[in-house]
Amino acid sequence: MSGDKGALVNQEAADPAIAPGLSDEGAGASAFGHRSPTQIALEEVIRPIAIAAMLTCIAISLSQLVSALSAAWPGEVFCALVFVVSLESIHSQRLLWRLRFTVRDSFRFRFVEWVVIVVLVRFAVYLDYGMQRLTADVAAWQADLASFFDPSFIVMSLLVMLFWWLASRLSQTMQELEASPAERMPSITDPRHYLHSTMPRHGLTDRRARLNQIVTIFFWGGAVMLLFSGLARVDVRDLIVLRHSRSSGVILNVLIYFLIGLLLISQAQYTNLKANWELQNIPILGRLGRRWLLLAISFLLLIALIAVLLPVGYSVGLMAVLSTAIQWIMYIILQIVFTILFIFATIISFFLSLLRLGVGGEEMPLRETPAPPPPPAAVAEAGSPWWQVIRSLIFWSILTAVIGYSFYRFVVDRWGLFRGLPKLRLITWLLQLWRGLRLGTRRAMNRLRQQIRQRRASRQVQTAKGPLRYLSLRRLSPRERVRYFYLSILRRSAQQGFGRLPSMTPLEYAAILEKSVPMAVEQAHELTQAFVEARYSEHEITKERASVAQEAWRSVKRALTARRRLQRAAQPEARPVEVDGAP
Amino acid sequence: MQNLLIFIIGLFLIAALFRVDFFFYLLYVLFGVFFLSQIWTDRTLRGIECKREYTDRAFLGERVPVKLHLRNKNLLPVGWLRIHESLPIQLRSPNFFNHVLSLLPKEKVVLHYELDCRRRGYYLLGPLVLSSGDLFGIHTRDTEIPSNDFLTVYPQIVPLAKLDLPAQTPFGSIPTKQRIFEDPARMIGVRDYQSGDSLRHIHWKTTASKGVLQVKRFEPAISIESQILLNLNRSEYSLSRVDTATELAIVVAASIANYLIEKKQTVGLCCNGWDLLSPEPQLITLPPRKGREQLMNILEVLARVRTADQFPFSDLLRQAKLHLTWGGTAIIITGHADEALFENMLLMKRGGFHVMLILVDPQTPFVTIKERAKEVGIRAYMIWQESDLDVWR
Repeated sequence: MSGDKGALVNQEAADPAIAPGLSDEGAGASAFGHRSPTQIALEEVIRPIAIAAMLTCIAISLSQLVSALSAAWPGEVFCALVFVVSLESIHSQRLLWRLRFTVRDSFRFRFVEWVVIVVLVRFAVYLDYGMQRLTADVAAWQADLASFFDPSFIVMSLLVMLFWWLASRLSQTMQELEASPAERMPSITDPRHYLHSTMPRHGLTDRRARLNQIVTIFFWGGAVMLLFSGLARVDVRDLIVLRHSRSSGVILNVLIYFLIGLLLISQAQYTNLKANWELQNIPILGRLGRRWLLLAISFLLLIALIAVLLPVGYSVGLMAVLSTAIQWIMYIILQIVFTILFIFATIISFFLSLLRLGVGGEEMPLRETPAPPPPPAAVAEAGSPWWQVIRSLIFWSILTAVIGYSFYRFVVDRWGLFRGLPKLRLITWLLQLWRGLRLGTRRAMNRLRQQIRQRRASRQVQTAKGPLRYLSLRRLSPRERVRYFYLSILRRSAQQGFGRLPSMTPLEYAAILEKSVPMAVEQAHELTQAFVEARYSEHEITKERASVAQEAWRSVKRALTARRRLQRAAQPEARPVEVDGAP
Repeated sequence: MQNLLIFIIGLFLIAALFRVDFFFYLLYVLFGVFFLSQIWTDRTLRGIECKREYTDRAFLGERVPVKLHLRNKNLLPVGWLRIHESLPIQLRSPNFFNHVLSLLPKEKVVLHYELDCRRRGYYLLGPLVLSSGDLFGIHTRDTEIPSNDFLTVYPQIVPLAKLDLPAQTPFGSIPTKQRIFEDPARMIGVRDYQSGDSLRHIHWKTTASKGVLQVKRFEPAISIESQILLNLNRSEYSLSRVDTATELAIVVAASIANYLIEKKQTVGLCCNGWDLLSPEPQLITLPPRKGREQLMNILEVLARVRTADQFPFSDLLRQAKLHLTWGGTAIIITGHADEALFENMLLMKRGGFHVMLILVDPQTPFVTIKERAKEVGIRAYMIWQESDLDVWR
């Protein structure tokens, strides 16, 4: 790569303190007044042509629009005129700049220039109209001189004047970007030093403002051109109701305008920076100007290539939806207006009937109420509908990102404007409200989350308890079944007041249980043994063993039920004695 | 080009309104110009690598060429790059180095500039400020590359031919008239034996040839172990001459150190200035050593040192005694000698040190000071300007 060979650049040649004037781009003051052939070609030929071409591109769009309205418009001649007049305007501006005419001479210069342009405009149109029309018109002018200034000629002259002014303005602004020897601060020993230092901005041109002017002209010109091009491509009646169809294809003049415009802005930025560097005596190393141009072209080509790959159409009918919405709104408004008019007319007719003015008149036929607009028709697109939807999604995603980012940058770049806002009382209140809402929402969300967590936990607990409550004995293994029988008896015994204490072993408790159920002593013993075996042994518990335990369980359960009944039967007899004190 | 964003939004509206596909294409292009320019500008400065190549030590009056290596590590080219290297005003006028250039991907550029070492010191080269932007004037970025490159300019050295330094340390390399210090390694001849001569000094070969006892004669020699005590306390100099006098004191110290090292003597430095390598002022002490390395150490300290007012010179004198062996010489370089200094010097003298006083900013007539110094047995010199060093040439 270039980094390997010829990469070592001897700066001594470029340093004005060591060897002045040997830099490629010229170091500091050496650049003033001396222009290279490339620079002359750029300033005198390429730049004027570029500006004229840009303006002609706008003129083409304008011509397309006017031609759509009036077929007689000499569009091609108008565009050629704009190009020629723009070139002439730039040349005149540069000439005036160079020759430094007096005001009187400048006025004379401009007057002559305009007479020539007007005559050119007047006669150039006959290239389109033909010689016969010229002969006829000349005859008409002889008869009536006022016919020389017909409306089409005046309109065209005004438009040409506008383009002439734009070309002159652009050229002058571009020229003002260049460094001028007058801007250089004289030596401190020079008598002009004081004068220079007391001048506004120390006699320096506000280049940033000039650059902004160029950019503004470029953007406004572009916007107007796009509007013209757009209007020339759609039917205005369809556009009003947003029912117009898509139009595709390259619009060459628009493409050329933006391409040249961006290159011109790039060159203007280079001129601006270069002038600043020259005024600060900063040496410029290497062929920066050439590289700049090449990089700008490469950069634009790269972006253009990337843009080609992105989708530019959409099939999700945004416009159709908008159109339907507008039609519905119009329909509702019309209905309201008709209703008001109806009421108003009824009242008036009532009064008129009182005055007998309406008698004998013919009844006007009733107009039918316009039907509501039909729902939007599906946009016919070639290819698979899924592919169309995907393309549309990509398109809208990119577009949303682009517009969103643009808004974001716009706000960020102008953040200083919004800094003062928090000081306003209303804004402070709104901010506090917003913070309060955020805090409240956050707290509510936290509370909700906590509650959900608690619910889940309790549900899990219930799920864990569930198998005990709704237990299916058939699904249990013999070991689990035996354990269940024993625990069931423990629960029942606890309900009757002689439950097993946590400190008791099953065998210790067996003695209490057997004493409590004298009718099922053996079964209680059997059940306890079965439980001990199922709980602590490792060998398999057979189904038979579980069945034996089940029999025992039933007996003990029965005994416990009988015991409870006995207890209940004993309690009502004692109660009246306690309450009434009677035997 | 900040209007570009507004234009993009406007273009979107126009494109959506007219449903012209080409307008959307333009929208992409313009947004691409804006967005990719930003990315390009951001990446440009991150990919620039800078390196300075130069000799980091120089003597006064030398010109130091500096090569500034710039390399674009990126695969993206740099449209334009403005470099602004800040430099010390003492080394270059104007005190910066500016340049504008463009860099292709992976391209290297070497820029050259020279520094004129007109004043001793320890100078930072840089920082280097890089500015760049896109080709359309939408985004501009600046970045400052912090520098860790320093240049040490040594103080001026005046070559001295003779310096009558009093010293008593025997077995040195400088001949002396005090015959009590004879160096047995330096035989200058023989003489007849006298009563009391050591038998070890008898030169047997000459004795055999002459037939009379001959003893070796040795050259009397001393070793001058010296400590330069440099006062750089601003408050102890007169206000009008503090800068000139302290600089002169540094020149004197450097010249004496150079002289002693050339004579292969041992020399050290004590100073109450501020070494710029230390974060805060503290007493500078270089214990007495021999050799070229010691001279360079002393010169580097003298190059970096600045005046300070934290430590009085009396503190320095107390500190210096610890580093000087008995019989060594304390070379005191200060602005003015008052009674307190004389008391300190007298104490040093009684402690077995030789003292030499060099004044660069006497605030009373030097004759009086010289008389007072003579009374206490100290040699005093006044150096008012560099040419006064001629007394030792």
